[in-house]
Amino acid sequence: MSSVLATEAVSLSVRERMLVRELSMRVEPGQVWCVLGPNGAGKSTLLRALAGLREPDQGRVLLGDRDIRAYRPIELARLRGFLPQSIVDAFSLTVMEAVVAARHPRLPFWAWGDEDLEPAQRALRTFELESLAERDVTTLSGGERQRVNIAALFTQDVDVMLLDEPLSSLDLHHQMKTLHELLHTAAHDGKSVVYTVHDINLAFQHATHAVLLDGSGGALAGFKDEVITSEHLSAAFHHPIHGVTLDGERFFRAGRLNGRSP
Amino acid sequence: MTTRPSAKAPRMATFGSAIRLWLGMLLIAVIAVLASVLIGGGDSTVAASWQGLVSSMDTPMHSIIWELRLPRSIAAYGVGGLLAMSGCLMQILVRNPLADPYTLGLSGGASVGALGAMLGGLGAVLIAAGAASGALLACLAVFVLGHRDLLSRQRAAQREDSTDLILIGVMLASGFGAIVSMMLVLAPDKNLRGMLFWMMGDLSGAANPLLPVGSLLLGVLCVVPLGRQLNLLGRGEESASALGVRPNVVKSAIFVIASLATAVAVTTAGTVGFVGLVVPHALRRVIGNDQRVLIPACAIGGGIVVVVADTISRIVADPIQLPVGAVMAVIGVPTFMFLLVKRR
Repeated sequence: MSSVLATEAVSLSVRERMLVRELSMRVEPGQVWCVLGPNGAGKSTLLRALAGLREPDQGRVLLGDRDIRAYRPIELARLRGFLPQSIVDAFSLTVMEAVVAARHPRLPFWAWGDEDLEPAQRALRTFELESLAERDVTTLSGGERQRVNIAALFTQDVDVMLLDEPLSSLDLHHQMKTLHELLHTAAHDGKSVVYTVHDINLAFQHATHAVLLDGSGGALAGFKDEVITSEHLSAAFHHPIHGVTLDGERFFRAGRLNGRSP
Repeated sequence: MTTRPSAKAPRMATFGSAIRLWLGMLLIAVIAVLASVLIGGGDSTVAASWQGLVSSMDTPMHSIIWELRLPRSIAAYGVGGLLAMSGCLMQILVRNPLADPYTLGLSGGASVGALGAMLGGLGAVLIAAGAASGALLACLAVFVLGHRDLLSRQRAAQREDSTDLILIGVMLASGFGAIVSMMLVLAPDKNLRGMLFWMMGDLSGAANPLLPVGSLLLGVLCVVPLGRQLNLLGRGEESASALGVRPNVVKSAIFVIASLATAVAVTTAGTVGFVGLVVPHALRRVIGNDQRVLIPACAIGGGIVVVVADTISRIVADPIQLPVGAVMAVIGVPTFMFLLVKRR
């Protein structure tokens, strides 16, 4: 497959601090990866490196067997999409304009941009944004804005989708909806998905693979059952995290600090 | 009978609607220029001006129209268009709605150059040259000092504003402002009036109308293809670069275009304030934020505003001419306040 995203012994450091040491992973079409780790462990940094927006300090990132640095930005934007943690709009624009703008990489240089609205309308329908299409993005609530940006990512229509905390500020229904759509598009359209998240249980339920960062260079990557275990989690988060099985499904709960519960 | 707005076609700026808007504005522009040519101070009537405009006889009116009013009107149009376009670009560049063409200290540099030339008793051509070199030096200084904001390929994820760039510009502007005040204090009385006029915008010396209008056309043609990328840049550099935009290239390009446009405007008419700040804002409120539509609209609309203001400045206190910048602010501030309060 041409759109395999892989890292080869990638190391990432920020201000002399090693966040990720020699991580090798291989994201194949149809796979959904979650990236877990404590605050400041380098989840966003890893995601930006995977997106080709930040050069790794060592090692390299490959997209379809080609070094990601060898792509022109516009070529890259036709293959992989990236949802930043937050988008701050300098000027107001409508929801429809924000979503349609994501078609940019697909359009020829001289195109005006309103030639093909179908993908944008489909994404608005998927994320229940049709009634907001005319609204000014800067007047929406944080969760609505996040849905607009996720819809824009779907409109971009790329093989590799990278999302930095897509669930932040979404309500429960839209968290489940977003994860459902990500799993669906991976399973049915052969997309690959990598997202960072804080909720371990949601991640565990909605991923095929996982990366666990501990913030001091340690990085585990692989099948979620092998990576997300209570030992690994407790070590990475420096907090006791226990696994329980309910109705045949694995859950993780953090120990309380007052020492009373499990 | 009411037709429900169909869900298939939400309101968006299509190419057709943009063209219609621009053509409509161009029509108003032609009317404004024509009116400014026909309306004059003193004893000239509209009918006499019309005769002078259309007849090819070599009457005094004919030469007033063709050698004074028309070139001045066209120069005013070019200057207004350049300043409004450059203001719009600067606002995108620094992601700040308070930016105007002079934010980055360009007008200060131009003022120092031009007033220096006036102090030295030099002629009009050298004053223009002084203004141009001052503006370009200021622009160069901003570029060298602010290259990290403009050119950095890998910026920290959280840095989404161009604070450094604004600060550099504001600092340069205050530095130049101080030098200008000293020059004004030191200037002999006979030069003072000319210097003050230059600083408030003076179109009476606009000799070559083709330069501003030609630059305006060129500038718009350079910026229009960048429209979609500028829209994406407004959503933040990180998401723009993820969508295939090279922020450093686009930002440098609009910095250069906006600076050159401002430099041409300043050398033609001195520092005409207000238009670069307020025309983009007013148009944003009326036609929205789509840069593909907005930038050409600013170029057309800015010209209209300056032509109208210049006509008023010529006739209202005839035979004394008022500085065009001041006239524009006096009319523009209440208009803008109205737009601001009314909300879209």
